[in-house]
Amino acid sequence: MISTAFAPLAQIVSQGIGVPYLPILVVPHPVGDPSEAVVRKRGEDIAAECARVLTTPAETLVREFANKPFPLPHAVMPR
Amino acid sequence: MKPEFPQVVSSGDAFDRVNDYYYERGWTDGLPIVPPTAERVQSMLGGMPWRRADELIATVPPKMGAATMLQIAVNAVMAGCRPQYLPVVVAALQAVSEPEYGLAHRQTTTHAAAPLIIVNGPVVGRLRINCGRGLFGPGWRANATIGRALRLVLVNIGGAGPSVDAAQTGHPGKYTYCIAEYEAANPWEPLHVERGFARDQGVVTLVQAEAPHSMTENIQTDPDEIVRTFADSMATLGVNNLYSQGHPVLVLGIEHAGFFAAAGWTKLDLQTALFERARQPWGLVKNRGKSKGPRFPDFVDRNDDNSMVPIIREPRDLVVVVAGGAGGKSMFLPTAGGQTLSVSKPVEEPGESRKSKVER
Repeated sequence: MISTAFAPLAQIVSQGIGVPYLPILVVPHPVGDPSEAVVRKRGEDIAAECARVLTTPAETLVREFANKPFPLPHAVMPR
Repeated sequence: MKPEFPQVVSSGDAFDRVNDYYYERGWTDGLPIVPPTAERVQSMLGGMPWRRADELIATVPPKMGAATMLQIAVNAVMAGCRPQYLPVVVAALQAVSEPEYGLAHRQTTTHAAAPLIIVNGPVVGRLRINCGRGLFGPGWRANATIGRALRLVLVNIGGAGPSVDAAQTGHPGKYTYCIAEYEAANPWEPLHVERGFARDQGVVTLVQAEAPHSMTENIQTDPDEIVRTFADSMATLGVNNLYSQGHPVLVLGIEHAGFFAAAGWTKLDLQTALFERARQPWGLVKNRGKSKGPRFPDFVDRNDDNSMVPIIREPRDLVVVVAGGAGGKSMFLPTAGGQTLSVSKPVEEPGESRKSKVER
C-alpha cells in the first residue's frame, strides 16, 4: 500500500525484486501531513480492497497487477 | 534497460526518428541523444578493452537493472562521450554503488541533490576535464558528457525516470555534474591524496550534492575573516547538513586557497576552523528543518539550547576541492546529510591491476 505520488516507484521496485505483478494498493497523497482522523479514514476506505487482494487467487492478481498503469496525480506532476 | 531496438533506420531523418523513439520511451534526459549504433557502442567499449562487454559493473536501484559494460557503453554513447571517458563513467558508477552512498534512496528521495563527480589525477589533463574558470558551466565536452552518461545510466538502467525520481524540484546538476580539482593551484595535497591514493592515480570522488552556492569574499584576505564568511554561508537554517551532517563540499577558489596558504594554514586547519565555527545553537535547530540523524554528533548536548551543532561530525568530513578561475568566490555544496556519504574510486587504466576501493 502506498500513496499516489509514490506508486510508480513501488511498481519499479517490485519489478526490480522480481515480482512485477505485486498487488499495489494506492491511497491519496500525502499520508504524512493530514490529521489522524483523515489518515484513519483513508485506512478504512482501503480496508475492503486489502481484504479482496488477500483473498484473491494469485493467478488472478497477476493478471490484474502486471503492468498496471499508476499515473501520477495531476497535483504532483501537471501535464 | 533491454536493448530493444528492432529496426535499422537509414532514412535522412534517422536522427530525428531515433530521438523520438527514445524520448517516447523515457530513455533520455529530455535532450537529444547520440543514437547508440552498434559501431558507436563497439567503439565506446574500446575505451576499456580489458573489460568484457558482458561484465557486470553494478546493479542499479530501484529497478535493480544490470549495468554491464555493454549497457554502460550504450548510455555513454547516448550522452556524447568519447571512448576514453568510459573508465571515468565506470568508476563513477562503482562509487555510487557502494552502500554508504545509499543510491537506492538517492534515486527516489524528495531531496534535490545529484551525484557530483570530482575527478583527480593525471586523467584530468589527459581528458581535458575543466577544473578552472566556469568548471560547473558549459563548454567542456568531458565535463558535460561524463556527468550526463552517469545520469542516463541511473535513469535507463536504474529506472529513476521522472515518474520514479521523487525529487521535489531537482536541480540542473541532474543533467550533468562533473568537475575536476585544479591540482596545480592547490597549495595542499589534492583530494585523492588526502584520501590515501597516489598522486598519479586517476580517482573519482562521488558525493550527492545540491547546487553550488556562491560565497563571495572580495574584501577580506585574512583567513579568520574568510572562514567567518564561509561559516555564515554554510550553517544556515534549512541546510540538511546542520540537521544530520554528512560530507558537504567546499569548492575553494584558487585565490582564497592562496590566502590560506600564505598565512600558513593547512587544509586540515581550514577544515577544523569550519568544523568549529559553521554551527548553530541546538535551541534553534532542535524543532525545525529535518529529523536529526543518523550520524548526529554525540557531543551536542540536547539538554542545552546553547550547545552548538556543526555541519560535519569531524573536520575531514568537509570535502575540500580547490578549483575555479580568478576571483574572490568559493562555492558551498550542501548534501542531504549523513544518510549519503562521499565515496572515492580509482579510475581504471590499461594494464593496471584493479585497485581496491578507498572510502570515507
